Amino acid sequence: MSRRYLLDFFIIIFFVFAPWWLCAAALIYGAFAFPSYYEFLFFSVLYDLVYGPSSWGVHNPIALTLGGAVVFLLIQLLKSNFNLHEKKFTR
Amino acid sequence: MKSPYLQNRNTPKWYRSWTFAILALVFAIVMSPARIVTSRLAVLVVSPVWNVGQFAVHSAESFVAGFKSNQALLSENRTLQTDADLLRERLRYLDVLQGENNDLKSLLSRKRDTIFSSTTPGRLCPPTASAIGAKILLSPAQSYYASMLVDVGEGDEVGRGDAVYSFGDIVLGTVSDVYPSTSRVVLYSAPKVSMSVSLGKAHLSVSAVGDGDGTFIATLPKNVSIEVGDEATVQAEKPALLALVEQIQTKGDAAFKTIYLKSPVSLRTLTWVYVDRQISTDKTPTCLDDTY
Repeated sequence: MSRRYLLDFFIIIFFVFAPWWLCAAALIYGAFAFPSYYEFLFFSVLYDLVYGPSSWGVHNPIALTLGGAVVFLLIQLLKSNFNLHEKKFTR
Repeated sequence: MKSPYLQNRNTPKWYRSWTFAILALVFAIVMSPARIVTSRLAVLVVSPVWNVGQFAVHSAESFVAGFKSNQALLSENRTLQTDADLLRERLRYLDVLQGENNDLKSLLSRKRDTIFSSTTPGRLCPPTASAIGAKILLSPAQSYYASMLVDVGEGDEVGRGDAVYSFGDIVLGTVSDVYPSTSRVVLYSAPKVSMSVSLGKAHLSVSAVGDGDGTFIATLPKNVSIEVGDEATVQAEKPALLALVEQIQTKGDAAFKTIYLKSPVSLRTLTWVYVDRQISTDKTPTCLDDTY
């Protein structure tokens, strides 16, 4: 569990100071490594709320929320099919 | 016969009602009108972290510089680098102004006031009192949306649509959202953003499309004369340089050629900008020290 908190701490740091893709990479790792990693969805939404445009213009203001939700579901599907979580990553 | 692994496989969890309930909540937050409120709240919560982070980085730099016993040299070097960047930008801008000045003189015999922001080493001064200096909290290189966040907001009378310039008077973008103490700036060079510019010595009116990281793409007929280094200026009341022609590409017998433009400003290293507010004031411009 402490590993999960440590990762959450680093994600907060990445969220504020690092390029977006570093934060995304850490979240994807977390989604694979921990059960029910809902931080993934939380940070996707927070990113769009803080950094995304507030209205639909040239850019989709919920691009990362949408992408994050799809990736999150795919990871859950992969994990349940390959049983990765139970075999390797549970702490 | 199935392997024990497949027999013991857990029921897939990805469709659990919990996940979908949370996903529904997530979309309700970001899609609804409440987004404006939640967005303001989120920025309000994250702002202190930015400030603490910037302070921490500055403190760490000072601490390390103190040990090296050449802090003065570092500081001077930093100031000179900022000045050199500004001068480089201005040199480009000067050509635009000179060309325009000649055109105006020949057509109207009208004298135009200087619009340069004035700077002295280590000091950055906006050109007018309506302009306000701002520190970049989030650089476009960090953001997925190629936007940036600056540390001025409603409290500084910044409004939506205000133009944002570098201190070398290169136009960068406009303010898209204003929060109590911060604002979001959408860059003209953000992907897919299209804008009308005046290109080259002939002042051709073309549409330049943002391509990210301070670059733009425009398309022109093959027979139109354009050279590398020609300026693209924004067609507005205040003449503002946007980018320079970096590369011209013509493919075979195609009737059109592709023009690649690049802003003279390095967005990755930019730390200060100024916002040209739509307010009238008689005050003198407030200058900034080029330190934290």
